[in-house]
Amino acid sequence: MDFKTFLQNNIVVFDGAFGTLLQQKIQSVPTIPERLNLENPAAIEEIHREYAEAGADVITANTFGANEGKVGDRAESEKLVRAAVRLAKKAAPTKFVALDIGPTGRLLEPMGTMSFAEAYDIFAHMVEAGSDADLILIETMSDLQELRAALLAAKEHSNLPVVCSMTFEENGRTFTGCDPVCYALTASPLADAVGVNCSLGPDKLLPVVEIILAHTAKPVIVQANAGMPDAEMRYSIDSDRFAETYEKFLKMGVRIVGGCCGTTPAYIKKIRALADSHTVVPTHFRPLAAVCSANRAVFLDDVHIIGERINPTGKKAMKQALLSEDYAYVQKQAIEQQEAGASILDVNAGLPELDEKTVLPRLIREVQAVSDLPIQIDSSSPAAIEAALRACCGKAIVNSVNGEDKSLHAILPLVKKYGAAVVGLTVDEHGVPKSAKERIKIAEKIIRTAETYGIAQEDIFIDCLTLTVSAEQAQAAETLSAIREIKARFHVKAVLGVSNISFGLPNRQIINSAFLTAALFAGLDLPILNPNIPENIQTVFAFRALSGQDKNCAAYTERFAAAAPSAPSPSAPNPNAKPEEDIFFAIRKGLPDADKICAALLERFAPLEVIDRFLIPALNEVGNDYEKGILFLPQLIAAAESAKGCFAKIKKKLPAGNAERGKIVLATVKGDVHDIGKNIAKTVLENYGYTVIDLGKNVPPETIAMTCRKENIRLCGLSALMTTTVPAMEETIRLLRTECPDCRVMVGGAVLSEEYAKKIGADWYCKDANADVKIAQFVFEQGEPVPTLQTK
Amino acid sequence: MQIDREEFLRYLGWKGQETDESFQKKLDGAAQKALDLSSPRSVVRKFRLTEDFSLFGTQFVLEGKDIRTHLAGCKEVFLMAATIGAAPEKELLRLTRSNTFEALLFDTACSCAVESYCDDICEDLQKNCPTALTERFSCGYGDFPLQAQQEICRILRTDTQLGLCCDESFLLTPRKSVTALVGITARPAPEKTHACKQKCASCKQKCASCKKADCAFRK
Repeated sequence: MDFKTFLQNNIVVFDGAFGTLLQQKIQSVPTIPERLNLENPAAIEEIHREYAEAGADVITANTFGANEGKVGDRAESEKLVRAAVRLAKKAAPTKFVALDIGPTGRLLEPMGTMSFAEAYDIFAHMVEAGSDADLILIETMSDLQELRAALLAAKEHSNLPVVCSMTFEENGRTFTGCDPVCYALTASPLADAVGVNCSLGPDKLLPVVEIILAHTAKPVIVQANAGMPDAEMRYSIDSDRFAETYEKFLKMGVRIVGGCCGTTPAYIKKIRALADSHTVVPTHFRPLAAVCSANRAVFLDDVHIIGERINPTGKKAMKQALLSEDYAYVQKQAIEQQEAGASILDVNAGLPELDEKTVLPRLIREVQAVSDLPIQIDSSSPAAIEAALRACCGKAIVNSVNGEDKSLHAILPLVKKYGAAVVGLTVDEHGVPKSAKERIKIAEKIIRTAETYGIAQEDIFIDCLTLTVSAEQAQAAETLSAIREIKARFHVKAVLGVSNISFGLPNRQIINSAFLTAALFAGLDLPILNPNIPENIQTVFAFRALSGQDKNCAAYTERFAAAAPSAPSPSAPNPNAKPEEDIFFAIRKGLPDADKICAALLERFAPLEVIDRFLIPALNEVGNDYEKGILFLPQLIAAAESAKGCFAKIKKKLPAGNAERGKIVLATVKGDVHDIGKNIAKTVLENYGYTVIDLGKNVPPETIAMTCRKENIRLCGLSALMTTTVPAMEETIRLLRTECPDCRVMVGGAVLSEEYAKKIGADWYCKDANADVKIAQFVFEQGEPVPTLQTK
Repeated sequence: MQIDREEFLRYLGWKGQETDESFQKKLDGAAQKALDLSSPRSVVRKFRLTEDFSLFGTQFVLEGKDIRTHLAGCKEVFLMAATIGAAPEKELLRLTRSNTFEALLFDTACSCAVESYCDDICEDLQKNCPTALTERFSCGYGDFPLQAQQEICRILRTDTQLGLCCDESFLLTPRKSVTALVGITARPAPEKTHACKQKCASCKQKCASCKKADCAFRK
């Protein structure tokens, strides 16, 4: 019988801790304990046999840390994995053998330096090496994205059943903040069983297990620790207490039981007995409409706003940002929309100049680095959608399919494979239907076709389409009636982009707000809109209060009770003074309302004059005082931040490119994730009017050189924190010298000195952020000469 | 775990400059946020130190003159790893894009938080130890190589126990984390512990024993 069939009809017992037994048997365990598969196979076999005799159905091969990431070498990893599976099969020939996959030991981007592709590759290799096993167990994961990499690798490189489990803390989340709902929603479609292991003692896992059971249709596994160890590595929960809680697990509907750290064959014997005396119990799971990121689930039983700003269509600044790979701009848009009240972010990279299937996943990674909102992938290209689904951590929405067979059969299999939700547009090859009836017909086709792929109605969001009221007046009513009908007939949600309604009319927001209100009352669940427009948010909050979704109008009250303008802060400048003087005070003090003073100046002076007569001198004053030690770093940065607000005001008054003083590339080098220094340099340089292309952290030399060449860059700034990352800086400089001989290089970072900077071939060493400005002024504006290190 | 105001300012490069009330409020805000978002976790294991400066039961040898000088005479050591977790790291990523000033304060506050947390751990260890402990000694101090960080993480299984990883440049992620060795000396335990915030002689030694004389943060 294969494992999947066995699992269908039985409560399955896994084995217990391996390391705990190993330490009892062997005096000096190597740092990579899996080396014992070759060095001391007898000890490994003995442990397996003990668990088999205790009654485990599944024996876990000793491969937990045998991945290339930990072992350091691919061929070695393969050898250890093959040996382990062989040993397990030999020791327990009548049992199922699981290939055991643990974390790579490195943190994935954006917190760490490992890319999703690297992690996938490591896992894929391990899966192939372990192909003789009967199933795959992915366990002790704490990063949902790393788990996804392992699950996809397992699914795409073998046909074996896959069981996965994550480790949770007392606060009910994993170390990286993933909660059990997000975990269950994201992992269930990719695995044959999901659950928890390691973590805490079994009693403390009860609430986590309860949540997982309620959010997955798949069998649930629990492999708890025998409590927590003390300094002598003694565990706190004995096998009787362990079994007591396990009985509760079985009664809740848990289907796979086993042990983790601290458990022994004695524990497994007890849960074997439990499994034999219990039958399979159904769980309370029922499908729910919900989407999530790794850390935040959004339940769609209430109205939620999908933020539409990350889309270049009709948005000049966003288009420019995407073309110049200015992801910092995109990230700011994500943060702003979240703060304004969006629950989900739509992400679109549809520009003819861009390769959507590379840019869209990149965009999603950048957005997810700064926001924990679930993502709506906005594209019609199946290749781009699949690339985006791979990159996106959590349960995403695919926007969209339509009623055409071609679209349905290309996109729905992807939606199913990755377990996403999907937007169904009520159009087909004949265009936009004019009547509600025809739209419902298309919706029904989409719903029925999705069902044949195994996609539940809860995961389908129908878009009844907004047409322009000034051109086709009767259509507004058709859209609303289609929403009402679809909500009445199916278990789907309604999604709608709203602002098209007012195209061509004056004062568009009036129409937009009215239509949005009507659509919400017709049953719209997911308006796609710009959350930065206060009227949009006001309408949604008002609707939620009026419809009773917002119990006791609590959210409405919280949001709008304090909406009165706040009193001016005591350190604000004297309102009677002149803005010409106030601006110096405001910037020096880092006041956020410096931009208002700047606006007053702009009424009296030309934009460039405001920069040259006020902002730059004010910044220079601050810079000089910083150099003299009268001010210290945070004060310099506060001043720079308030000046930034002023520049934003001025830029709006200037034709594009007019204030540009020079373009500078900044990056933290490959292997380094410490970027506070680089960000400080960026803030200060931008405030002197320089355009900064910020490539971020952990940037490969090739990317830096390529960007400098493409953009014809004359000055590049590199940052590195530690001795171990300075070689990457040296390599980058070498590459820049050959690829862009005209580009000058300045370097900075904790471990660097002038001497060291000279040694690695830099032109300048920046001891602080102010030094960068002097160099930039010299390079771009014939400022005071700054001698280069190589001429010193 | 706490964030000492003076320590916070020192990390920010403060040399007695005048600050106003609104600035101080921002410091307090950043400090509070760092404490709120932290979920401090650690593992500590005691090892016998062999004569060739390896940790007994492992294949980990302590390389470098400085660590050996630091641990001279110690028969046992504590190997420790500590982190304030992933949530501060995420907030840092977000602040980096929204406000550099706030990012700078928060980053620094988190550094203070993890140091203070390590002080707490060491204070606890000292309380339960009849003889004096040495100061913490971390990878990258003197000639004790950063590379050792990976070995320490593996021995303490920090990835699955703390969610703490060591990357290919031997740096810790999440960043606001520490690994260190603390020697158990034969000297009697001091009356005052090190966590007394610069009030006793042994705390001042923290900087005095470091060779980086041009350090901007030297006390």
